[in-house]
Amino acid sequence: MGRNWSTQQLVEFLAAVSSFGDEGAATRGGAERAAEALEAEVAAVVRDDRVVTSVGFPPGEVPEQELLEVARGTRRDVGVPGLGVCEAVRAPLDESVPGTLIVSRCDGGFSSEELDLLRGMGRVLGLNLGMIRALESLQQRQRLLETLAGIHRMISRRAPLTDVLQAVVEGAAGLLGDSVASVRLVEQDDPSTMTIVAQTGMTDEQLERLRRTPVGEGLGGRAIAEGRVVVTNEYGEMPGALADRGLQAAIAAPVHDSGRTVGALVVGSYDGDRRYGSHEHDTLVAFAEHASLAVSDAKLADALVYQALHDSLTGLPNRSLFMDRLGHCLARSTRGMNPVAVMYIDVDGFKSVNDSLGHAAGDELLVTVAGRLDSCVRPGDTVARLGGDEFVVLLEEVDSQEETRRIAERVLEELRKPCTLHGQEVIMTVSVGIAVGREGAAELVRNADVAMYRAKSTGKGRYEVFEPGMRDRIVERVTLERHLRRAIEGDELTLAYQPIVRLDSGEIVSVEALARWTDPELGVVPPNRFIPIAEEAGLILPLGAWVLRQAVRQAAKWRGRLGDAAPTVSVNVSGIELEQADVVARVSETLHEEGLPAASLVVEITETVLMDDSNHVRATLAGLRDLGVQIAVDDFGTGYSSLQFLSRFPIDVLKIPKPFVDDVDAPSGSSALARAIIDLAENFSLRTVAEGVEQPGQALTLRTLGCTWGQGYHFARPVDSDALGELLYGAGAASPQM
Amino acid sequence: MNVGRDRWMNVGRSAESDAARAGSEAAAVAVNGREAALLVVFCSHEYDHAALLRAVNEQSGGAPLIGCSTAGEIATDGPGDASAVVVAFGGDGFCASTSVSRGASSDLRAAGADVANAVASLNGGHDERVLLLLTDGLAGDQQEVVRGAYGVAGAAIPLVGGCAGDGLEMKSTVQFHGSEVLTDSVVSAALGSDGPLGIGVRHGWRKVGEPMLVTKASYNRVYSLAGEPALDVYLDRLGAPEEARHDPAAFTRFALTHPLGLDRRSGEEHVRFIGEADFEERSIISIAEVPQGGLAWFMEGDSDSVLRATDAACADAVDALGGSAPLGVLAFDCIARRGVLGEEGIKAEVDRVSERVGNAPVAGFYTYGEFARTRGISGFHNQTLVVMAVG
Repeated sequence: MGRNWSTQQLVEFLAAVSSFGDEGAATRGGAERAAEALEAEVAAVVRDDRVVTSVGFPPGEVPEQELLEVARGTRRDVGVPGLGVCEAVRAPLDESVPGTLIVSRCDGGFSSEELDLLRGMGRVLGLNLGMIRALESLQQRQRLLETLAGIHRMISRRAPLTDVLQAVVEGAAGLLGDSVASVRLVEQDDPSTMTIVAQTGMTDEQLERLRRTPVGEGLGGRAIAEGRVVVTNEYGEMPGALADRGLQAAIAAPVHDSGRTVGALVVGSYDGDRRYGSHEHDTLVAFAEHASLAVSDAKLADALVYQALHDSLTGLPNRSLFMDRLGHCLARSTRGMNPVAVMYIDVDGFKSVNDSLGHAAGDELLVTVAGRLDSCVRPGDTVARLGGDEFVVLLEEVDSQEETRRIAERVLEELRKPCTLHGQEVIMTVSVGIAVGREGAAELVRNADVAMYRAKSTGKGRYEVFEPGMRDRIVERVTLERHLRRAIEGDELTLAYQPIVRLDSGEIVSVEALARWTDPELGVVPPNRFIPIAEEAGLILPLGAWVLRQAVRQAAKWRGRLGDAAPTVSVNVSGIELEQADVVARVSETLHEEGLPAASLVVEITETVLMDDSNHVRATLAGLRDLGVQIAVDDFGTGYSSLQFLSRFPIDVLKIPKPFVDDVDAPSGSSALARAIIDLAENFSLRTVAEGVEQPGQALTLRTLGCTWGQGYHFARPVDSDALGELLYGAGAASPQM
Repeated sequence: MNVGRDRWMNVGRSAESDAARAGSEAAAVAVNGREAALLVVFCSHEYDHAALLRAVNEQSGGAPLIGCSTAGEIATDGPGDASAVVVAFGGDGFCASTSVSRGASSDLRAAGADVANAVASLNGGHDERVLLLLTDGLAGDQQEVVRGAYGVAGAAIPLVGGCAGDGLEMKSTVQFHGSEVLTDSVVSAALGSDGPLGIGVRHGWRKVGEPMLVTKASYNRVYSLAGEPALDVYLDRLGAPEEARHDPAAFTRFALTHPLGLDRRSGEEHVRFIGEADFEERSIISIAEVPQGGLAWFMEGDSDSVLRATDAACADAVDALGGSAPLGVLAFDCIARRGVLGEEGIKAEVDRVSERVGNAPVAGFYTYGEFARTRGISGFHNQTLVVMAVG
């Protein structure tokens, strides 16, 4: 909704009421259309302290007294049979036809726009009733009044503004029987100057001289400056431009747009006996009102067209306008000019801004991006928003690749500057793809998109220029995604298990389940390639569910043979999985169905999950813990999480990342990090698992430092379930050399 | 509320090709030997309607009756095309009064006002009232009928109903009142009930592309959109198939699933069915008014969106009963929705309606326009499903 809506409704209302031929029908029709426009149940018109028409009350059940009180302003509701007491609002008719238009709606809540619309409808209805009355009493004016009806039609049919205003000046001059009339509008760029936009009766020479004059000068200028009707019957004595031609008297009425005076309608006479009285005053105001409506509506039509081609949030051109400009630009370019460049820009991590700071902050960010992009390009270039967090820039006539690259650098640099969203300083980056060429518009945009994608997948916050090979890489990725989807659905993945052993005894106490994928066509695809794809493609949930199910099932088998001596099983759970509302229920269900005690399952999460510090994650982890499941934090110490997390979240195990373990046996000092984690764990009574133990010396040192468990090639590589079974059933424990 | 009084609602259907036999069979099931307060008949436009009505009246002993021809009938057991459906309301808990206005096209507003007088004739002391309207949709702007009826019935009386059909021939439809077979008329039945009446209205279309200004239109004929010939804009923006670009029948088939949406206050758009194209003057023709200067969208639907709307309309109607189980439902379903769903789809739709209302009896028809006014003052719809649940 908004002002557009109400102007639109007012124009429809005008068209409807001006089609009625007599006062009774116009009054009833006006009330009815007012109710329709405001989606109200009842409406009424009160004149001379009498309800002259009403809509929505069954015959004989019109609450006359209540309506009269609403008209007087002493009451704000009416009883509507069948609906009860409803809020009622009112608006006066035009001054020339005293009366009140009342509308009432059962859900009340009239907004200020709706009240503005009601006032507009009251005024328009009054003007119409006044004209119909004049038509009834002054038959000789009929031809001219028909002109007024014609103006109505022109406005409601959106004839060009100058045509409507020309009809207004000719109608006003004709109706009043005067020789000169004009409409002057204040210039948008220079509010101190007004321009004649329509006139009748002026000579070319006069028009040339008076076309642009300062606001405040002349009778029209005074009507604008004072915002009221002004009359002079001694025009000759006014410092005015037409005086020299013998103009004797004139009258001017202001023209409005949304409550502001934006112009004036002026009528003048060369007749020395001409006197302007109240009849002329009312008539001129009626014409000026129509000029006002025409001006407002013309703006509305412009605004509607503008809206159809621009993005409402940032005010930038939208996709259709961009494609149109790109098309024109390419057409020019094929006629021998320099090639065209398209830059495709995507905000990195936009979704997380939206998720963490809210959509309002996301919108603010987009507006900031729009403004900064605009400041980076050359005059004449087009910045547009395609939707979401995607923007495009059209660089016309680029002289060289160098120039394009310079602009791209500027974009990256400008957008990297910190900005404040909802009081929080945020640093954002964008990924930029560039395509240069003369091919079709759609293809250029597509190529720039591919290059942007490439920039994103190779680290974000950078730009790439499109090369044909890039499309192949995208195709490769899409292929991988399709195969992965099939692999998950078709049970083509397998699990490998890597033992975790006690450092003091070498006994296998746990195994970490790791997903492995060998595609029949693509061969072995390592997890560091397919896990990110699964995350981006929304496959991480089915993948996670599959891993959990297989691992739990396998652990239950070992437990069936070994009883309490069987190892626990560790399963990696991603942040996306933890965000699901039903994750606790799902884990519980899986354990139950596969017959594994919860205490035999360890859920491994990454430190970044803790860093988001969400209540939801905390509740989920607590729920898992309540089941009896243990929680381990993978790669602890790499994500700068604060110590608070250790007390705030229910955690059982910290895993020391391989780089820290690598250093543990190095010359003095380097083992500090591993040592710190082990000490910390001791303070919080947590167990520690050292990952990536490859050397016997490392195992020894870690044990001395107080680390409880270890995992790595030194003990065992990940193996399939059969091989692990042999390890477990054969020796009861692996026997590494320590 | 006289909760103790008896109320029943039955639906009978016959696919007999003989009009008298069809009327007799359907009415016998609906009336079931009891005294009905009101009969409503929906039947194929191809029957001998006088004979059909005679047979129905014989079965009912001349109970008050209204009805109309259709573009497909709906009954509990599914949709059909060459059948007669009779729904009967009876028991002291219902009362009804019918009315007719002939030659409606000369003054549709007066016709609407005329038939709304039926409400004043209800005198059984029933708390819930509704005015059922069946009209000749080929007779002009049906919002005028609503304006007329609303002016008399007032805000307290909901209006529901539909425009009669003729199996998509778009030539002539008939309405029934008592034993009379009429064309160019409005018939009405005011129904009073001790139980609640719930009404649901949904369409299931969604906007396609950018909004456009209606730059030139006259009543229901749209000449230009955004300054371009309306037909070209329509075909190009919607990517119409080749045959729809010159063959009138193919155009109508395509247009059936691509209506025009008009901007309203609440942001809820009014849907306008595009019926034909003028390939010479490049205009498109709706069956209702499209105001010039207004903002419009093209819309499209698929079976999913249309069926979701079915569920929602039923849910709205049943929810409005405030917990009481429906005795039955009346459904006024736009022919265009049938076009989207196809023959299998409409079977699924009627099944769904039946399921959503707890397998209560269902009666209705495929219409050329629907009436439903519960809020505000406008009440003529296109491309919409109107469901009235009788609680």
